[in-house]
Amino acid sequence: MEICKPILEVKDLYVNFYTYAGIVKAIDGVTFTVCEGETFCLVGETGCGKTVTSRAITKLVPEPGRIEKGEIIYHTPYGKINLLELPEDKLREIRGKEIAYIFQDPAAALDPLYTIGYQIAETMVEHKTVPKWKEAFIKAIDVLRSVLMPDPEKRVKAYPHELSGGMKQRSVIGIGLSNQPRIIIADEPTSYLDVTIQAQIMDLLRKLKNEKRLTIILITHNMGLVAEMCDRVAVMYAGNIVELGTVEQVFKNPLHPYTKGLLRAVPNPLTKIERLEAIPGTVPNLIYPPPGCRFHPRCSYTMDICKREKPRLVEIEPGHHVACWLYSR
Amino acid sequence: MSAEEVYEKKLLDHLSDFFLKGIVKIIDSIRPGWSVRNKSKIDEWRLMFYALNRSPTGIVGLILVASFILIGIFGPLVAPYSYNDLLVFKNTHYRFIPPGGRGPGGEIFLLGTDDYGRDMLSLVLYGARTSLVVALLVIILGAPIGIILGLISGYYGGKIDELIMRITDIFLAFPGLILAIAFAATLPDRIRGLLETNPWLQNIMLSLFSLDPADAPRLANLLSVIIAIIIVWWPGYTRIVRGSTLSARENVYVEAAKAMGMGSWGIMIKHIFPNILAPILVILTLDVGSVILLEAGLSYLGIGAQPPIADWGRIVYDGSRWLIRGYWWLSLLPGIFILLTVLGFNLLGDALRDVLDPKARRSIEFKLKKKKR
Amino acid sequence: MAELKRFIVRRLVTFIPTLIGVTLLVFIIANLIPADPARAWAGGEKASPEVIERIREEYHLNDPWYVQYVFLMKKLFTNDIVSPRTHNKIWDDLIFGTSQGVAGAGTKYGRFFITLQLTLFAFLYIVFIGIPLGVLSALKKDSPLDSAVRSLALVGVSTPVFWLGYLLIYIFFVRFRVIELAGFPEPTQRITGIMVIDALLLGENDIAIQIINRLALPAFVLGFIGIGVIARITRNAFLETWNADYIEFGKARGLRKSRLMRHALKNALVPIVTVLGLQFGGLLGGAPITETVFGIPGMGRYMIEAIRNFDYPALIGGVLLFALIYMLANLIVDITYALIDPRVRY
Repeated sequence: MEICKPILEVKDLYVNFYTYAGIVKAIDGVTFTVCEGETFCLVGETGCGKTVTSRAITKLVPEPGRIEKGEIIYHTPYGKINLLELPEDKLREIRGKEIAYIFQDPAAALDPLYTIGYQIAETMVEHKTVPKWKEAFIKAIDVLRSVLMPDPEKRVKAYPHELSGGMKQRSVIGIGLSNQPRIIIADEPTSYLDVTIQAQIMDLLRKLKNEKRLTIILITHNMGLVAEMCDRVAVMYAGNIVELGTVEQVFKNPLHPYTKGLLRAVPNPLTKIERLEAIPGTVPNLIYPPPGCRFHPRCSYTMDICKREKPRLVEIEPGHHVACWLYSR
Repeated sequence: MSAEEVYEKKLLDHLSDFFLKGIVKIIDSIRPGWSVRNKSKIDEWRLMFYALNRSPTGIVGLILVASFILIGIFGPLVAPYSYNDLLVFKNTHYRFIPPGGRGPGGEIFLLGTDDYGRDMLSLVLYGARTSLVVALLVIILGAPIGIILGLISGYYGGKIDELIMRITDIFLAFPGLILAIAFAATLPDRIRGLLETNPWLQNIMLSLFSLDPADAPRLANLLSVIIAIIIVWWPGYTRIVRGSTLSARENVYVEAAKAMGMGSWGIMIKHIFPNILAPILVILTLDVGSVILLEAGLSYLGIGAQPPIADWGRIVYDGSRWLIRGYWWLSLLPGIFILLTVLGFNLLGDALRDVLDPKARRSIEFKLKKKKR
Repeated sequence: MAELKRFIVRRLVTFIPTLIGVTLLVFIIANLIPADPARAWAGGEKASPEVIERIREEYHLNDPWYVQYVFLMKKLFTNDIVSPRTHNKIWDDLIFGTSQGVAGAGTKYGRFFITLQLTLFAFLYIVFIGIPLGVLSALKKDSPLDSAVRSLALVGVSTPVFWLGYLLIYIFFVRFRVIELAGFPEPTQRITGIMVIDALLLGENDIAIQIINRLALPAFVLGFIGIGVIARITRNAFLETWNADYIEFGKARGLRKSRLMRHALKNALVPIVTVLGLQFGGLLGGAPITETVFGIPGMGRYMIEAIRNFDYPALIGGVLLFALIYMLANLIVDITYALIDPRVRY
């Protein structure tokens, strides 16, 4: 295994949502490190907090959410900074320039009233990577070409509604890449697309990663995609990371009962299983989360301590971490 | 345990429970056993009241509307003077007494007097009656037109819908005020004839408006304003009812009723009307406000109530001549009553819109139950 | 563009039946009057039978109603009919200007342009106060400002326009004499039809200032209802777009707040423009009262005078113009949609 040169460290992150029904403890002490040049995956069911975590990295938690505590250490070539302590205007300069996002639904992420050329140019002009609008429009064609948009000279003047779903997502990726970011955070970038288009977009991301030496944080619930794309993976459940390791480690030797269940619930791309099984129970209500380990009400190995104390993430083998009392006695 | 006992209640909630029980008792006496069959409906109503009780705008609106209605009903009975008591002929010192000032006889005039020495307070009280009766008559006579045409238009669609909508287009293609002026100015002669041949109608109107029989000839103008407002009001109302009908028509239960062979009118009355009642009620409440405002505007322009009949819009107009002289209370004071009344209906309508939204009821239910726990 | 042209032509054609409907409706209303209009026009009870008979001939009052209607519409089309009250041709009164007005003095501007100018002023208030207020209250959702804007909208639609007019006259004229209520200066030459623009084009700045002084308060009164309504619509539309995914993505790509607001506002513009179009009609409708309060010789007062004097040729001319403007405003709204939103097709 290569030596990890950290580019982003999330330390002990807590995020709450203040809804009228009560306080939703959405992210409950999440810690992980992303290495430079790798593809790091966050997997989990809908509502487990993976999107919130990814948004929290640049303080983009939507209302009524609040980051309660934690550190996001970003390693620039010149030194480390804690993004959560950065003033808003400095943070803005990092978003879209150093750390770029690709959203889930490209149709909603693009402003319907402006051409995609305009939106790409705008992203460059706002970050002053291109000084003039006129130049930016010309560069936008190159950007579209780099994301393999067919007929980029024509498409640059197209409005979002004139493009297919795949072309819209290519445009969104183009916007993300326009300022040559170091990190791309791709939040379920293919879940709104047809299966054939999904493969194309993933191929594109892989190609771009190799060409531009990008670091990618991929958020998905699709285990097949994880196996195919990622170097390391973090499994999230109800606002916690329950298991973290290389794809090999996690898929071949899952430790946490939840990971095991998850892998039994989908066709496992790396090992053969006889039949698919659902995980019993439902995702807990995070206003009144279960005490101790948040997975214990659904776990078949529950012990007394699981109901009382929250397990910490511990290293079982090099690089393979798990948060479960079965292993950390 | 019924929903009633689960909640934490305020004084107003107990009042509305009492009110609701009264209504339920009345319905039960007409259709025995109704309350048992419609328990969940009654619970929804109760929650609506509770939600209204917790909306500050709703309470303010309710208070304003209730005071307007009370003043409208009892105002002329408790007014210290009649609207045509021209005190100036007794003593010229009765002119232009400022609000709170004393007359030559030492009597206090709370809102002052006008250029004829009429007591402004009495004028305002009588004026409330005029506004109330006009608004009531417009709604009672006009709403059925709008509801029936809107239901027909939205339910049947096709040619009849097209025809009704084109007619409303014509009415809505120019300002309602101008159209109302045109009607109100041309109708009185015909109405005068009608009133002369039907003295019973004249007498009913005189007592409704609480007028001196000597003012009977002036009734025609007042009634023509009511008709004019109905004529300009129905098209907009029809369109709203049509819109609600269109969406209600798509419901599965309407399909089911059709499949069971229920007639069109049966479906409209039994299934569509009850389901569009909520938006109709909201619009109606808001429209009472705009009817009062339109009527005041018309009488301000000299169309409609003729002096000495007390009418808020007309009082402002008559008083405006003296504004330059500094006698502000003649025009500015009565105007405040128009503002407050119309505001009351708008606040109430606004709050009703929120309350009738099922989401608002759920959130109220949630809050009240949580406190108990 | 060809599509747009076809759309406009198609819409203009649909105006015709509505205009016929509107004028016919008013014509029928006018014919409900049992009184003899010819007698009224000739000067009432004392009029000589010869004069009355001549007026009857002139306006075809002895013919069946449909002949009268067709005659009237034809004459209106060629501006060949004289108002029996002002003795001017109707379109001269309303649009072209007259050598002698009602008061004797001539004017280069028809009554319509005076109302149009007042309406445009009010429109400016609505746009430049209402929209920013709405955006502010959306950005500061649930703050005291937000509730204030909500109340302003409710108070606005509840305020009797004439009462607000007198209140402001009392404050700004009776108490502190900072405004003028009389006179209406005209620039020396008519160019566009809007007095204040003409004055500025001619370099007659003092006249422009006088006109602005004269209209500032009435226009505010006329626009008062609209300010609150537009503020509220803007607030709700802006809130909706402000929470949209493309704004979230805009933040994620590091756009400045001013840029994000631009995106949100442009997307909110479709509902705002719809209501603005409706407001324009509402302003025209409110003009008669405002003109009466402030003594402005505009089209609203012209129509009221026409109704009071049974001057139905003028009334129908005015109604025709009103309806036409109303429908044009709606057409402009529809065209604006296409300018804002590339997805709109005709």
